[in-house]
Amino acid sequence: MRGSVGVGRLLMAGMLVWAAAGCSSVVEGAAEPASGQEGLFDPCKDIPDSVLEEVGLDPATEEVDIAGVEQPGWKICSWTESWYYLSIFSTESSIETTKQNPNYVGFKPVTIGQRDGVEFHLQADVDLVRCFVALPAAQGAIWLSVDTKLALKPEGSTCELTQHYANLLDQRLPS
Amino acid sequence: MSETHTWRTPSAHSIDLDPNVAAQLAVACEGFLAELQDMAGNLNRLTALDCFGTLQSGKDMAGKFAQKATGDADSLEKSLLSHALVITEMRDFFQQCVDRYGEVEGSNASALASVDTPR
Repeated sequence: MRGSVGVGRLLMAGMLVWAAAGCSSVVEGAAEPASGQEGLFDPCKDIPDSVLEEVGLDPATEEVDIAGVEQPGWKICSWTESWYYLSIFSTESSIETTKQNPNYVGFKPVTIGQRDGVEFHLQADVDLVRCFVALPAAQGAIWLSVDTKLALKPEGSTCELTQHYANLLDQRLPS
Repeated sequence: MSETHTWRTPSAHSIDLDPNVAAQLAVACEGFLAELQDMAGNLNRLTALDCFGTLQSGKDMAGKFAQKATGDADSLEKSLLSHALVITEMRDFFQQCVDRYGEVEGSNASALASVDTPR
């Protein structure tokens, strides 16, 4: 009887050791960033603070990606001003692809520096509280957007302001 | 509305609010409003992205999620907006309290300053 109890305890101890080893097993390798960002222009890192200050943006208000979370295929940076956010989106999607998206309407050609870009807005945004300008680039496109803050009225044309920033930053964006 | 700004005279139509407290409440409302605006800013950036590929099924799914974010009447954006409007009203109310207190204090001070002191 004593012998069988001893064997049982031994088996139990063995199972515990096995279970503990299983819990503490180490997964080799390193976490990888979300795919699609490789080689994309990074507006937060690739535009110096001095340039931001020159164009009237406050580098201290910088927000990376979306609340700090990377989005596959995009690099995003935004800055806060009194009544709006200026966001720069870097993507491998071409302007032609964007034009096929039914959520975007009102495409108008705009010339920014030497580039033939387009201005557009969201279909649901009839008041143009938010405006986009997309510039062609070898990687795909760079978008700029002025977005009126929630519960505020625009204090100027969001499209004119977006074009204003596009002209000021054009030389700092990849061709 | 004017009764609600009466100082230290509690009644059915007034509240008793220390101007220092009102000032702190206005600042707190401003901070919370900025947080709500940042959330909506992130929401708008997220809905701008075309993250579900070029297949029709992906586009349809993106459309459904976009409606939940900004399109439908009960979307997150509408919910954030209703919160922001209430907080904006609260901030303006508390700021008005502070401003009126300052105006009354200023006019009392100037009235007293102009009183001739008998020698």
